[in-house]
Amino acid sequence: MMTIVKEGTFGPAEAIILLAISSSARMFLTYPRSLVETAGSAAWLTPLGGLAVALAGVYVMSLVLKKNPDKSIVEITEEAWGPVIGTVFNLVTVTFFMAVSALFIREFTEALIIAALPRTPISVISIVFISIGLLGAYLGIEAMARSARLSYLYVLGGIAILLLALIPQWNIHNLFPLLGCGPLQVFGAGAYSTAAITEIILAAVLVQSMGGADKFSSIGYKAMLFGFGLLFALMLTLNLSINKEVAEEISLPFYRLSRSIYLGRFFQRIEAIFVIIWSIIGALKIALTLYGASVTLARTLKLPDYRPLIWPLGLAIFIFSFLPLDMPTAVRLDFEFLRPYALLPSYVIPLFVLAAFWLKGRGKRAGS
Amino acid sequence: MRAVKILALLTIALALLTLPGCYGSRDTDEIAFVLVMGFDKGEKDSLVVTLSIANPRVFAGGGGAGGGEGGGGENGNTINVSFETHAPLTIINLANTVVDRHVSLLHSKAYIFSEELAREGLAQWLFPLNRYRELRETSEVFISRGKAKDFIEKNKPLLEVNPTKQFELIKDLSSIHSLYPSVEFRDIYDNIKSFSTQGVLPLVAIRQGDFETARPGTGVGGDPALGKYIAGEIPSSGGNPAQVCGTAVFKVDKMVGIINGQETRYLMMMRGAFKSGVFSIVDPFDQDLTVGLAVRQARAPKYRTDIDEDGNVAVDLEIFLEPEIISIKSGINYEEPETKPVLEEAISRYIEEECLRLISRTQEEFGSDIFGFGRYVKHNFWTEQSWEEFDWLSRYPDAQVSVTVNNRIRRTGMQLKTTPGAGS
Amino acid sequence: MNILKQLLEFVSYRENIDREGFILKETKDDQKSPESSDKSTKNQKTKPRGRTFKKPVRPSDITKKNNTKNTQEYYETTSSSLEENRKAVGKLYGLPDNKDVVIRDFMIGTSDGVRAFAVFIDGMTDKTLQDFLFQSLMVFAKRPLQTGKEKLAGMVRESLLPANQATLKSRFSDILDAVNYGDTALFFDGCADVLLVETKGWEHRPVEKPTSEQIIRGPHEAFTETLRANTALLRKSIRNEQLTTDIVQVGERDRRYVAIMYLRDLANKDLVAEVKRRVKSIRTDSVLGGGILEELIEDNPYNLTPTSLVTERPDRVAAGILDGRVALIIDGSPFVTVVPSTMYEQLHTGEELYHRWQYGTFIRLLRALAFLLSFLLPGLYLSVVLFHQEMIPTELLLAIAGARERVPFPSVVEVLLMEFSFELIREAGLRIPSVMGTTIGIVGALILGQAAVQANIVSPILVILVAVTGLSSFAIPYHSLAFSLRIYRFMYIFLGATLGFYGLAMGLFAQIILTANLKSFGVPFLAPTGPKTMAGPDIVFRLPMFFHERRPDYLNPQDIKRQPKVSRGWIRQNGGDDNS
Repeated sequence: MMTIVKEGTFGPAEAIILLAISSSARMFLTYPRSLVETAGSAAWLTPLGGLAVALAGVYVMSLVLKKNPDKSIVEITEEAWGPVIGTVFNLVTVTFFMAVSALFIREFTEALIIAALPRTPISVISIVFISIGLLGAYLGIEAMARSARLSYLYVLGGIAILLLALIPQWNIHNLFPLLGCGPLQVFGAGAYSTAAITEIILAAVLVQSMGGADKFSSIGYKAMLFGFGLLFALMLTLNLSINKEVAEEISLPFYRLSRSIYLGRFFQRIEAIFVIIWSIIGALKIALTLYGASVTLARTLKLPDYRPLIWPLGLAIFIFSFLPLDMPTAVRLDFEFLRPYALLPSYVIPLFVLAAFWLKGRGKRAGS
Repeated sequence: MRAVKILALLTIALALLTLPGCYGSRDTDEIAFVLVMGFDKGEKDSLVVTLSIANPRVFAGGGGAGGGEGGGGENGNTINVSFETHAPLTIINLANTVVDRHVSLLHSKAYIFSEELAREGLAQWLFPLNRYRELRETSEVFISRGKAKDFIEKNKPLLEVNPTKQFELIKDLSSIHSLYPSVEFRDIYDNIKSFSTQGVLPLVAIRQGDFETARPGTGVGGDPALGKYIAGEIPSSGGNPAQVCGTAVFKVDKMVGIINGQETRYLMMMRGAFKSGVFSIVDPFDQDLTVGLAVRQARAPKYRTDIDEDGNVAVDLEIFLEPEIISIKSGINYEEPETKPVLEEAISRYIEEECLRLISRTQEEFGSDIFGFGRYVKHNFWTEQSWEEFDWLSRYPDAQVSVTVNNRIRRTGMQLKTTPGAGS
Repeated sequence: MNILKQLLEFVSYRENIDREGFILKETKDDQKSPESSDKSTKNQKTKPRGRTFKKPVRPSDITKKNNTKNTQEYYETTSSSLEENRKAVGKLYGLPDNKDVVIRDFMIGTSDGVRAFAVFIDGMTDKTLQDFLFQSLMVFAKRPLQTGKEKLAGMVRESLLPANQATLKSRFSDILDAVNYGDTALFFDGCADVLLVETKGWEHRPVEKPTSEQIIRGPHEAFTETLRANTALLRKSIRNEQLTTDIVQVGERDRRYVAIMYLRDLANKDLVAEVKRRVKSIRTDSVLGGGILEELIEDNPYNLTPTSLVTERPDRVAAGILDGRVALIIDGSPFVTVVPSTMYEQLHTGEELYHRWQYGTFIRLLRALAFLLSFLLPGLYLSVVLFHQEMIPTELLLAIAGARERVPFPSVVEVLLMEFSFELIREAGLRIPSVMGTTIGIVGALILGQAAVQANIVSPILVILVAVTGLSSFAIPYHSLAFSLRIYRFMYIFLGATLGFYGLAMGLFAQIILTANLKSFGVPFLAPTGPKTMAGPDIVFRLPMFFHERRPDYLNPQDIKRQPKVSRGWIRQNGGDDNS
């Protein structure tokens, strides 16, 4: 069969950076706060459990993708479960991408209003985000991967400066009690929460652009290590710098950390610089998920090109982004709806697909 | 061609749509920057807020722009306004009834609370300040003996053009002499919320007279410590009448007492935050004279904590100091290997005693763990729940604390030998 | 009566008869209905909407058009009759109206004197060369004719003419091309072939110093307007027989030569083929200079960023060719276009290589900073002053605010005012006659800087800012890139003034992603960082020469290796005699 979706290709280095940066987008929002609430002074340990789960998820996904090395997860799901259930599964993925995109637009917009532009109307910021998302999705994954590759040094440099500039405020005592809210919270709820990422399923959708199923697992493992490493570093810094009791109150911990930088009379008040970093990452994440949604939908519907879908999907996402009434609702939706939902396309459906192949294989063997 | 025109029109329309974004912008000449905020107890309403607003025209630099403007003399660089109201942030609007510009708190560097207000509890005034985006958690917080309004009005930093620089430098100077702690907003906020440490704030005050407040020194049988004063009482004359010295002790959010500058140094030593400071101790061989020492903390203090079955806590703490002799009045040769240990021993004893006295004061008088012993006790617990149940703060007054001071005089200044005057 | 008439003449209106003496009337072409005139150029593609942009089209799409229907068609080839040829030449050149075309009749000095005439254009030819030419034909040619008249031209070429280049042609189009280009055409009676003798020698500028790309170390030669001189400059730089000069004629009314130069054994064959395909496919009236050709062959003409490198320095072109790039030299343009080009290359001057590597690296880093400042600084200033006042230290903020107190404009207007004045100074400084050149400095510095501040029109801090931006812009070596950044700067001013840092961030993201999407002849414009290919020794940092082991990977040259692993033979123990 012909390859129906027109996409670019990019190398493993770009793929790893793209996925890692995309997975780090949540760091800049309210997510770290939720982790502190979950695990207390041991919030920095939660990414470890999540990393283990995510690595297992990548392994399962790579097994699924190897069933048909020339196809992406969309076609494989359909192959395994037939056109009806397969399409339903794929639509779950599409709606997941859309939900991520919509919620991230909303949360980044709210974050920007809180942090940088208190007097600007929410619609203006949202419109700019969605138009940049549309532009990115239109230009395609190749351009996005390249720009991620170009900007990641600055992003990482910015994060590194932030974390290191906080050294004077590190207080080792904030890490105690070592197990925070208890091992079950830290390694159970924490792992469950941190493992809920978009990037496994995104990578599985983009697998053909990244060089095929063979490279999937190595790219996946490295991207997960990179992304979770960033989260780990940030959570550690957050725990070290801010008392647990205060950290769980803060709506935007990353922003708060950047505000607390004080290295003498001149080098302080640099948080506005970080607005640049996190709005770039936010735009990249929004563009990526919009792209993921339209590509997945295009493949599910077997359309030759994904681009005509960008506009309607973008509009839908834009409207969805305004559905939560207020920021606390949006944050709660993120934590209580999006995170569990993320487990579905990333971990559950691949297992189902594997099961289907296994059953088929057994049926075949039994039949022969 | 028509398509291009339509596209251009659409672009312009979109550009106009984003123009409301412009309403979010504010030019600097529309903003009044508040540099210092003072909070006092009100007469009819609960709060009096004093704002010190920068007058940017003074900072316009030389140039030809009419330099003869600064009519207000050295105090023309700020304008002080006060309001009686019921909450700290009402002044964002209330101030606009008097000040004709948008009031911005983005550059407020210091919050000054009056002692009266602090004794009633600061939580209700501090918590709003944590939430509002224009306020920064790196701002300094001070307690003013007397009214904060008076302090702001009478404070005239003669060396500074920019009044916020004064507070930045006050913060830096804390590490030079440790006569007051440097406390940022986030520190006191953390401490109010914390289960392991209690907060302290530096004291500021306006000096009333000249030398009336002076206390007897060693020569007349008094305390040799140079930091035996609190702000407002330091015998000085001339210059800026504003003084910073000593520490207000808090229990949760209520001010429960005052320790003087010298005690603040011991507090800092036990917190591990002591950088340097000049000490005077009584000469071991001549009780009327003193030996001057520049003391540095060699390394962070060492803590050992122990909890027995009944929940009694024992804290052993070891402090490491490195004094340098800067003056010997008596002429005794303390550089000698025989006499040096005597001096070192005297230093250790003296500081140990003072530390223990301060600890017992906090335990008995204040009932507040301002040293952060709790942070070390916390290491004995595995989970938050057990630690919070342990309720350290109420157990602190019963804790057994022992202090050991180790010191070694590393350097003796520009002299390696001391000889007495020829006549004696 | 007469007086009355004169008086009347004074007060009455009298039409000035001669005022509109000349009116440019529409020619026949224009008077045709627009559809029919459009048809000839647009029938190859039915476009949905009336776009009038010129777009590069594939040669296969073009049905061969006959809009070059001029006199050539009637005189396709030369005839053997001298009279016929003479008539044809007269007609083709529009003689006798055309005064600088010279037809010189003469007899060849052979025993049985043959009639002949020479055609050349006065001023385009070298007189001394022509003197030799006529001498050898008329004076020294004493031998009798061995062959018939029909082979005469060949015989003259072989044995009579000592000219260095002489070719036989029989098509008028070839002959006219050659004569237009300064050659002398010799027609002989009874011979259908025409002898073209190279006598080019028009007045031209000598090789001078580069004017727009000055360097300290390195060759101080610049290209001139003469194609052959330019190709020779390159030949002089690359002494290698593999250097190939392919010459293509572009333009239909002004038939101009474009030389395509590359190293045959180095440049990627597909790249060379693609360049040739694009250049050859161009159907236009005239390509007057490099910029026009550039725009016609560019991949992304709508993007602001230039995707080909234009330079006036032969050493830069030579360096490009030695990397495996292709150079396009247009006759009459002192600038040479090098493709493909990447952004990093556009930020180089080549001079970094002539300096020691530490100095080169330092200059590069400085330039990277200048690159960012040149388009971001005013936008940054505006977003800080309008949105993020908390960002700058209080002292600085109060200084800025104090300086702005007396300025009657909002910051945006102030910045735009200064930026536009600066752009005006820039443009006027370029156009002003060099005699008055110094005035612009005085006007710029004094009037705009000093007086504007004193009159409280702008704040002094802004003057510094605009000056730094301008300096940064001048520090970018490639004029086109600097130009694109000048325009980007205004976009960032708009974004910074409306959305603060968020606007800047979104603008940056859009610019990055649009730029990352660019391609220059199939090479990603941001190579080798986006996409990541093998890191070269000469991109942002300029490593020591002995690390330059490979050519840029993204160019896919036929030979990637530039030098062996150990290029400094002498550091080996055995003195470097063997290079094993």
